[in-house]
Amino acid sequence: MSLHIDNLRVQLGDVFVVRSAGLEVGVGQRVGLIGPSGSGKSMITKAVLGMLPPGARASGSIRFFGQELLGLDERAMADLRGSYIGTVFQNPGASLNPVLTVARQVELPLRLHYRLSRAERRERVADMLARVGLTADLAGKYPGQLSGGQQQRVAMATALVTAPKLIVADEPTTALDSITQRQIIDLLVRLVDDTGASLFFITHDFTVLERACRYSYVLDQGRVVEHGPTDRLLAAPREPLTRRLVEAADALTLRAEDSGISEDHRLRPEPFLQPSLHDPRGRGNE
Amino acid sequence: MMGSEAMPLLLGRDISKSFGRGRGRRAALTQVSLSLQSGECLALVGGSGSGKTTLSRILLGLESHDTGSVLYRGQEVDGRRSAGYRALRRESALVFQNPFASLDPRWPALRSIGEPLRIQARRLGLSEGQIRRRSLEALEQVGLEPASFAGRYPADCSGGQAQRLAVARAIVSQPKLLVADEPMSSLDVSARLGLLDTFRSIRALRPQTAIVMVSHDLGVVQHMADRILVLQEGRVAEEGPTGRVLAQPSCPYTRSLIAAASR
Repeated sequence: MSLHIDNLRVQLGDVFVVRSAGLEVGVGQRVGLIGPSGSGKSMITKAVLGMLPPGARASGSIRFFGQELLGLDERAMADLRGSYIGTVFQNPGASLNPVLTVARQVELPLRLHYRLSRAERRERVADMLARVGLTADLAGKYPGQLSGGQQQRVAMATALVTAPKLIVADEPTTALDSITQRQIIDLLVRLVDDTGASLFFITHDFTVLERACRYSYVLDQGRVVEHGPTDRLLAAPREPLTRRLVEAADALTLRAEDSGISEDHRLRPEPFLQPSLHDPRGRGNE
Repeated sequence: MMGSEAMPLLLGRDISKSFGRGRGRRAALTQVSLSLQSGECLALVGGSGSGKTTLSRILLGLESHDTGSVLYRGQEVDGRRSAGYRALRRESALVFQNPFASLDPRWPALRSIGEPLRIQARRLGLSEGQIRRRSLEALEQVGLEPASFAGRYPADCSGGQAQRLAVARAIVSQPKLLVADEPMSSLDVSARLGLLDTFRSIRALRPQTAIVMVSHDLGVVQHMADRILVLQEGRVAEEGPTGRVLAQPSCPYTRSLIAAASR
């Protein structure tokens, strides 16, 4: 199991922001966590990354390849994040260092956590930039000179350059326009699958989730209330909150019959394969 | 004689705008024209950097334009002293993307909502009691229970509730023109639906108010707009009634926006 969260509770002062959350992300699996604002999903991400705000108390268990993360000291956690867990956050403008060029930014995790020659680092960075679809001439630019979509590509390159085992993506497309959103999700999915990493994907939007994850957990007021294959949640939501999120996503989607554009113009999600926890990518059906 | 129906509330003609100077100069808008009638909802749609926010700011007189003209009720909006500008600023209101950044965190809801009236109290001859009554009315119109929300601070509101407070503040002065710049994009999907309902009920209550909605998301726009103007790299790529633009988009860029909002 790549990530195993069991009975996680996070307390801020007297308030439990996460109460009894449990979920699993299998090796090579892409798993989603969906919930409205304030449901505690970002707090779960922070607990996984060892970045809980000062004063927050967490109990329960978060295991990463069997290793307990709760209670791990900052040094060990930083090593783990640098080498094995990549993160992509909502606002790339805020998560990138504004005084580092694109190339330096992407190179940083390699400098901090790996012993590689300069030439080897350069090669890895150039390769990574190409894989996220950034041209070589952008390598010398600063984040402020890039569009939001380009910034998020840099953030993904930085997250993936160390070939981590788990990518944690917290609302990575929310700050982007709708066309860019689709491109970034599809790219993230492709990169994660290419490297064999697992993806833990946090969002409030089922339209985004169904493109990224085949299995998802629904979070309501700090509790996991429902989980299952994403298409099952979409087709037959059981909990009122799940139903509300599905209905909202439907209402805010254009329907095929409303628009006269041909099927070829549609950006389609990858072909559907039966999801299964034991066979995470559903390859068994091919 | 022409009826007042025929004169657009807001008219933009060949608006161009560039930012930067020398070699860094970049055109943000090129020869953009549009018109808006009272009671109409126009969506300005495009990706990041398409110029939609710049255009909305120019239409409100908050940003200058290099060439072209903006007419509000037939009067030129040209600098802060122009009659058009003064009428426009009195009769328009703005809803921003992030309610937490646009509401004063130190003020309870009722005080924020009443502020546009308080600023004009003298000119309008309003007493504090009247301001309070109209603020409570505005709260009710955006679907927030006055008893529970009047004294509430932004920090104690959800994103959707805070954005409704911002809408209440915008409608309290009964503007003829309401401009909303990506009002849904910082909200989660269920809060977006709630806010859409709020906008629709405001349109039903105040059918004369014209709305300009800036958005990158046609999924939102389809529920609100009578007409859509698609901007691409500062130029009008396409313009027309919502149904027609969505069903028969005439340009490739509109088609990709539609695809991005479809399943």
